[in-house]
Amino acid sequence: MSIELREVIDTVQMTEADQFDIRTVTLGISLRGCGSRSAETTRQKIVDRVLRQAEHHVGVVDEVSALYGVRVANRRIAVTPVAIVADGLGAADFVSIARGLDEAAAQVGVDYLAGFSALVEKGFTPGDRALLDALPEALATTKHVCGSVNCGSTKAGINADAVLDVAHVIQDLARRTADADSIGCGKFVAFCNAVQDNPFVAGAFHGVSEPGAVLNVGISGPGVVLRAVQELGPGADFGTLTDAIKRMTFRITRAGELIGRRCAERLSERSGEPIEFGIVDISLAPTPAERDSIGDILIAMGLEDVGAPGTTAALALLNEAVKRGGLMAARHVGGLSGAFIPVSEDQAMIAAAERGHLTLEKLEAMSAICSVGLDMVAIPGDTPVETIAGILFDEFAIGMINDKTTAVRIIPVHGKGVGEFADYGGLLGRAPVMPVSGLSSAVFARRGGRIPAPIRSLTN
Amino acid sequence: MPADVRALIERIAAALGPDASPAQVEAIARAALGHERGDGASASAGPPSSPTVGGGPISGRILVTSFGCDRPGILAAITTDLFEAGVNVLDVSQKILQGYFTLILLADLAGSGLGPKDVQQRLTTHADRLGVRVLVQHEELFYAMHRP
Repeated sequence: MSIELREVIDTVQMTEADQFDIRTVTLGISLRGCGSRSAETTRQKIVDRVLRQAEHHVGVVDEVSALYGVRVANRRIAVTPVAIVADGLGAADFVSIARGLDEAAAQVGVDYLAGFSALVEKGFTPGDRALLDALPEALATTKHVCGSVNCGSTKAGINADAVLDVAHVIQDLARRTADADSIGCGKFVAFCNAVQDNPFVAGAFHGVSEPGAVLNVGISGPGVVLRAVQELGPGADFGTLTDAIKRMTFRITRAGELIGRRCAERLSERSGEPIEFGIVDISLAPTPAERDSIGDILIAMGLEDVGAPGTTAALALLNEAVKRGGLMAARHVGGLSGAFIPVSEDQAMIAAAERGHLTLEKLEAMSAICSVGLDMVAIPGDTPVETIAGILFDEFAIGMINDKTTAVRIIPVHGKGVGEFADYGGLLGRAPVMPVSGLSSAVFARRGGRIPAPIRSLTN
Repeated sequence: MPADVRALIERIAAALGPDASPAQVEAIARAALGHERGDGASASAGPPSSPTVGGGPISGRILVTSFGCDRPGILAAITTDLFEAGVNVLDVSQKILQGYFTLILLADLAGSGLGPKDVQQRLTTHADRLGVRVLVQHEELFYAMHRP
């Protein structure tokens, strides 16, 4: 047959033994035009738009997943940043909109709907302020809604007022969800250089210049890459390692693009409206499942544990190799596209943090060369708000200066300290509470204003 | 009869086991030979025209993969079921490695009235009984992943 036996065995091994799956198929829905002077009308228009566009989303993804025998782990929705759509309304109205989005998400059957967001890298509008005020209650009292705030960019600099405000939001959200190990913070991301087409939650939103409805795919395959690295053994040089990772990523990206395009076609047919296929996000995203771990790949590359000297370089190689393979495999690559290092969602990372081998400072270094930042990091619940702001400032400075996305999804676990765990179950996993420096950042964090954009922003 | 055709028939008969009917052996042999010659008997046997990124009409060709511990009767059970369902089996390949048996079939559902999900459901019954796992996947996935 023109398909070879070894190709079939290779593919089947990926899905059956290596935990390969399509991590998410995310339908991006524009809410442009839904705003009005009336809060109730705005809410209703938003809900109606989501219900109409996403009616067939879950069903179509299930069908296409069954057709190709590749599991799709999640079906999600991303919307236009709600602060923009509902600008002019008050905080209480924003909370009501969040509840409407939550009901819509439950009705269409997705697990998360992201985009309860504001883009404030240069300053605030009344809508941005209202959304920020609404965020803690909105995320604490909904099940499916995720939110984010973009606080900085290479072009604009860092909005220091926003950073301190966001630190307060995180603390408030942690307190409101204290009875569930502050899980509300797992639904909120603070960004620098946020991207418009990220299909992964909690930071997804449908950018303002995106078309009406777009389907984006997030692929994943740490287990597949792990097998490739382990098969090479300790003697392979870095060039050989890069090549093996690149080839595996090519294959899994191709699968993601195929499934995404077929989903977009079917969704267009069913809904009677054009739904474009957008991008493949070629991030390697781990899950708590065994072998589905970025940390394991780093160890397989020759480190005693995550956090050993060489960890940052290993992650840089992995990230670059993934991009090479993914870029050649897809027509359009977008989203975050790099390796994720969420501490609570990766078995090897959890273990390394528990042993004290992986510290916040090492994670910060790693975030300079991979896709995201400090993701699903649990810290002591009594961490001062200015210290949280200091952590945000550091991550955003890395993103701003290096012209890359950095993000912080940090969880000050109410009532818990170092040596304890926050247990979320499912894909969010479990996080060891990590130590944070006890030095004060109070004066720095309260200065306010905007940290100016770096010189490298002048690219014209 | 040419020696290679006789050898093919003998391999198919051995694989199907003693309960196989001459009609089944003949059907599979014809399908395999027709595919090799490209004589139009299995007209949809080539790779899809836009194999890499989806788009356009989707063929009826699927890959059925069965794997597990080597047990007699797997090939017979699967091919009999497909044959009875009116599914055209285009090619068969198998590998036994240290007691693990992987069987791969290329089949065309066009004209059978069945979809891949129906085939999956039918074959899962046999799979559970024989203690193997059966996957049914559209061929497009393999071309997308393994061709430039």
